[in-house]
Amino acid sequence: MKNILIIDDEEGIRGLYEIEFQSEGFQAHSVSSGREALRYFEENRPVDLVILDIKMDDMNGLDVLEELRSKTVGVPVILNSAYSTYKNNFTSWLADAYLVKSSDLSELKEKVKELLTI
Amino acid sequence: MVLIVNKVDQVDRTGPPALYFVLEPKYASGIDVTDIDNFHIRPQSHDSPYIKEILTRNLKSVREVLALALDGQPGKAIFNIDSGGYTLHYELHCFPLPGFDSSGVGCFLIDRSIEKRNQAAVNSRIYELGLISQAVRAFAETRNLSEILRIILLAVTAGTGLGFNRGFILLSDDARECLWGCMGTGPSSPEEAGIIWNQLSRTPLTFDEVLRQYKAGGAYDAQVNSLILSIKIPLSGETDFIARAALEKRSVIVGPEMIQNDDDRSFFAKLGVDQLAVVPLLSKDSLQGVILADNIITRRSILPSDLHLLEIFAKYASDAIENSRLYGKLEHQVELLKEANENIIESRENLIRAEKLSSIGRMALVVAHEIRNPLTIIGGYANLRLRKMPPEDGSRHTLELISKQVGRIEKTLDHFTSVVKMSGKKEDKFLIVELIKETLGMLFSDPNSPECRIDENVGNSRIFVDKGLFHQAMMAVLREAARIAGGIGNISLDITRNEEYAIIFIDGGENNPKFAENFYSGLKDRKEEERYQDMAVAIEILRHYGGDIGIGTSQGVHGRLYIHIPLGEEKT
Repeated sequence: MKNILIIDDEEGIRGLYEIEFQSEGFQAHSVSSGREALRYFEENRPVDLVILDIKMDDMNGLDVLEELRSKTVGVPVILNSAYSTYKNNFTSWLADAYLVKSSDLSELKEKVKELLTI
Repeated sequence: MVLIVNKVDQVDRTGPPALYFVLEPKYASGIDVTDIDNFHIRPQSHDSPYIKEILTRNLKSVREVLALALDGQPGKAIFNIDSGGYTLHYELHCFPLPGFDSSGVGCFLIDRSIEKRNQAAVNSRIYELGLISQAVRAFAETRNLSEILRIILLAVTAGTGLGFNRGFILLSDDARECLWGCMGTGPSSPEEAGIIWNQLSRTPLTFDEVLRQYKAGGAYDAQVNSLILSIKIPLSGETDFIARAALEKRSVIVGPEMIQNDDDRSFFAKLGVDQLAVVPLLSKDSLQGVILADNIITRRSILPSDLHLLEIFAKYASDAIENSRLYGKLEHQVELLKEANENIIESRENLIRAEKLSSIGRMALVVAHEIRNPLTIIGGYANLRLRKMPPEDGSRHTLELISKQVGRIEKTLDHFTSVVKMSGKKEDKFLIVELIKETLGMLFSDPNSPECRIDENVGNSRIFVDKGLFHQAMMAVLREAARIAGGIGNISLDITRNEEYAIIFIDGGENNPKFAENFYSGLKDRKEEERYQDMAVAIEILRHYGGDIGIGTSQGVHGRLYIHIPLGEEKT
């Protein structure tokens, strides 16, 4: 079973995504900040894909992405933000996909499956 | 005496002005005064035959005074003789000679020709000076260069004028590199000249009247004008007689003997003359141009005195031309200042508008983030519940309603966050160079900073954009570029064109080889969120119009920031 890590400071988003992806047959875990996410990786816990918010209080999602890319090779990252304009930030190009948040999660789920080649 | 040597038609202008002689009747009474042969001319001299010829030619005038003198009354006769193209003027004074054995008549034949000629010369000079005076007065009444040129040419040619059949003016360009034909006047053929001069002889006009007639009339001298308008003479060509006269600031009468090369020959052939007066128009040692004048119709030789008069007139004409040109430049400067003032006002308005749009853009982004998250949660949970809910569940309708309305708000939000879809867009085609200059004018007070090089192939290129939005995008980029480069003075712009795109290269200067790289890393600095958002909006605007921003290498030196935007197409 594939492990998905959800990084978002919005509790409602984390809860929703966990339920949705678990119901799709994934192991879904979530953390509420960038620093927590980096610790999660330092603990060598299994992660097959990351869904990453950008605008968070303690550490910006793009900084987290840079950190992940410098330490972890090969984990697909989907940037998932309320902002469409972060697409213009070149760090966002380090991500495998960039999706604007929507109540319709079908596009996100499709992208997850695509990146995990399921 | 005598004015007359050999025969009347040959005039000796160096002779004495008067001759005294006595007419002595051959007969004691019954003298017929209608025949000079009835008198002896005393003393006899070599002049006597010619005195006789003069008296005989003007017998009608002579016999009256002669008769008077014979009756004891003095008298005077005045008469003229045409001689070899000249008119000789004479006075014959006759008086009785008492005490002679027989009645005789004392005569003084006085030649007034030189006095008359001098008087005519004085009158002519008065006329010419009057003409110059009228022309100078006319110069003072206008600043229009064309009118001034026309006045000059009318003075040179109109009526008896300064005595020329045709006149041409060539003016120097601002850089004093060449003379170009500006205006000509005069008849284009003897027939046309005949008609004009015939009219003038019937109703002689003063210069003021000629000028008024010209102002009231339409186009004149089309043929002569077209002749001169095709002429351009480089001032570097020292072999050209006109260029040489202009460069040496020397008036000259050019005749066949002075024509040295084929160009000169062809120029004379074009004008159809073999003699030409060339007078430089000089004002305070600055060359304004040259006047050319000829006598194509009358073929009268141009005399040094004609040239001298033209020189005198040219001094006044040069000042008038210089004044007009300076006035034109002054007017141009005033226009530029006016335009600059209007631009400042417009720039200020554009700046306010751009700042407003920028604020709206930033607000849209904040709103997007603040609204989209709760919407995702509300709609997401509603969708989740709906999927797990049996079709007959009584809450289903409510959840469907929530899901549908959330989707609707999200779509509205998509539109709202797209700043370029805000209301009030006024798209049109604008000159890219002007837009960039306007943006620079809004941001930076020094018109020469940053340095802005414009490739000639982009000069008239237009882009189809909303002016305010484009200003907003460029302002964000240029502000950021100036910040990264350490000051506006360090950046420079190159505006060029590549096929259907205008490209604006922004360079941080020789001392900033990593300028473009730093620009990008600056974009990743999320600590200054507002500026980042400005850039994000700027990129969004550029992309909306089919453009983009990136790093490009140029001339193999180092990476340069560039913006490209398509030319001219209206976005559908």
